[in-house]
Amino acid sequence: MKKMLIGFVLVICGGGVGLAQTNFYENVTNLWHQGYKTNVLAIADARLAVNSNDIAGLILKAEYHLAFCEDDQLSNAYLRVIQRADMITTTNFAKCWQEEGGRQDYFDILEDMVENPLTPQRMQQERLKGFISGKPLPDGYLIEALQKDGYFD
Amino acid sequence: MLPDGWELQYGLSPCECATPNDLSWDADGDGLGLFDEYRYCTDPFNPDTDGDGVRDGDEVPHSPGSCPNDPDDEGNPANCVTLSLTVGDPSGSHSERWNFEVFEEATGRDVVRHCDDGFGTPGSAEYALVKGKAYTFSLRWIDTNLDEGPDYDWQALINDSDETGACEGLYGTGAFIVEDSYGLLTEERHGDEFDITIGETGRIIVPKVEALDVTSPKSGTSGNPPPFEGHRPWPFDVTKSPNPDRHMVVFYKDVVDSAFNVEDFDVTLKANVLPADITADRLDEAWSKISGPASGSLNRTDTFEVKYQNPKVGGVYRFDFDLGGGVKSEANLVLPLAGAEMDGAIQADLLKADAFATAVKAKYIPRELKKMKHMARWFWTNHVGDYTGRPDNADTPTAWVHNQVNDESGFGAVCTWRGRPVRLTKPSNFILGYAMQQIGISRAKARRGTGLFTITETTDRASVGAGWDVANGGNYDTIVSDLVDYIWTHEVENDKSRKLWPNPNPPDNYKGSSSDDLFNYSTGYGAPGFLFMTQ
Repeated sequence: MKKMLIGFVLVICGGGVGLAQTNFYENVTNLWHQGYKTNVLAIADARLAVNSNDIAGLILKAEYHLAFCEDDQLSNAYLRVIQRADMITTTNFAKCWQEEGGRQDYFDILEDMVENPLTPQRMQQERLKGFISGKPLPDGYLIEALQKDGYFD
Repeated sequence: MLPDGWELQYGLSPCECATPNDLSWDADGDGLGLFDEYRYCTDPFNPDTDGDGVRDGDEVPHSPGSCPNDPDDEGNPANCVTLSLTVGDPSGSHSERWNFEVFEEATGRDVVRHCDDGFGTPGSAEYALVKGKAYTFSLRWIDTNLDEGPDYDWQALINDSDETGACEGLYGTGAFIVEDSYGLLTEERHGDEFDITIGETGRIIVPKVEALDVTSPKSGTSGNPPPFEGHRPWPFDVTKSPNPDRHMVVFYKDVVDSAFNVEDFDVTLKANVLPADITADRLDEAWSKISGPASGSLNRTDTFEVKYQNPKVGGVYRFDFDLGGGVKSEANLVLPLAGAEMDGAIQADLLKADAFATAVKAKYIPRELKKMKHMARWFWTNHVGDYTGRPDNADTPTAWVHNQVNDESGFGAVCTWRGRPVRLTKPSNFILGYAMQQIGISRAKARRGTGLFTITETTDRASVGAGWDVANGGNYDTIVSDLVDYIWTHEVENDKSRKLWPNPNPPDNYKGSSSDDLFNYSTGYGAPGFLFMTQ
């Protein structure tokens, strides 16, 4: 309950859609690292409710599905990220996405889902790792690139 | 007591009845009375006769001291040898007075006028002579109290001895050599009807190790040719050494054959000793190796120039040249015949990589691990916890870094890996590739890099790939042997592994506070940084 409350307060204070926020990256990565992944999902959903093509919301939602092995939603979430991210041309994000392997990572994981599907039992096991705190947000660097490009201003 | 001529030279009245050695006669306030000014050959009206910045009275031997009439000692007792002179008439007649005079050989000027304590009373006093110079000495008869005329009996000693050859200065100030072919030095000698010491001289030679030279026919392509001198804080880093032209380097590439065997070669160690005419057979000098790899040998130790023969192991060899009597000089010879053999440490690091991978896999789902940027953050931006691939790991050191290529940025310590010289970045990348395979990164991705940086050097890519292959079940021995051969063959371009510039400094265990620091090898690292592997 305490986690949820703190997360809610953070959402209200800084994670709201449409609010100019220069520390969006720091907020979501800290929440993620501290284990408040549900709150990060809430931020993503809130952003997507305002703009269904919001790339930050799409990425964070995909991260959540990846972390908890929600394969039934993951492939669709990934395809949406790819579709939207390919259209973004701002300097930092485009560099991370196109040149530094971000896009390739997404395709690799989609490919892996097809080639190495998890059994229900394995999926159950792996899903537990999603609750482990102290881990970095895997695609935090993409959010950071968006912030550098002024996406959250 | 004071010769009239000396008094007249300085405008003193020969008739005035001064009391020698009385500080009230210290006209220049340097702490020396007239008598001391006379025997130390200093100017009674100049408090710093030799102009070396030290007052005459502060230079005269104070267990030990320096020479007040010679600026070459810079007023520093370390540049002098202190000895005791004795002269006088010890015979039963107690009749004669003598001086023991010393002259600088190169200039002929007086440096010591030692006087006895009175008629028939030998006297001793200490004097400092400057290292690196030769002196002549003679005896001068002064007077007699015999009515029937002098008998010229005398005693003359140096350090209470009439022996010649290599002697040792007082207070451990160093060696000197005494030559006395005529026999002026004696416990007691009865003279003749005339002064038989007239025109006879002896020599006092005070040696000094001016420099140690190290040469080798194999050092011809070195960027820093000999000579070198002494140990310095960064002795083999051209960018940090205060004397970058004073190093002796033999590159590995110049002494290795096609089978990577180090061929036989010699390094000549030479002590340049002053004065120039001194020869090795006059001293009890000795070379010795005081530290370094157990490889090679000195062909002899008892001369100024020796050869260190056939060293096969790289490292810092330190030699001591002892001139006898406390005159020592230390030489550092560096033979960069590759660094420490790291194979054992690397294999131990693979075990750490196993543990790392196990812990990581327990924490992350496989798909998370496929994100290369994510990988990079573990490797580069977490500064605590276990890490591997860095032999100077502060918590669990596995090796001692001896060598470092510093010609550019300081990056790239050199080690020996299964008999081949490689920069430590190669095994580091090897371990990286090994760990990547274990946590599910594809070989192609691993070879490309971890996202924050791109692996471009072919030998780095090969190292990552080799590590990946070993983790994938490949034979370590075969893969690594092929890898180190490949590295040797393909690093011709920048020649880094072939230079093998050693760095004898201990690793600094530096942990950067940011990724910028991690890459700032020129300032941040005494030893190169390696991958942080945290969970």
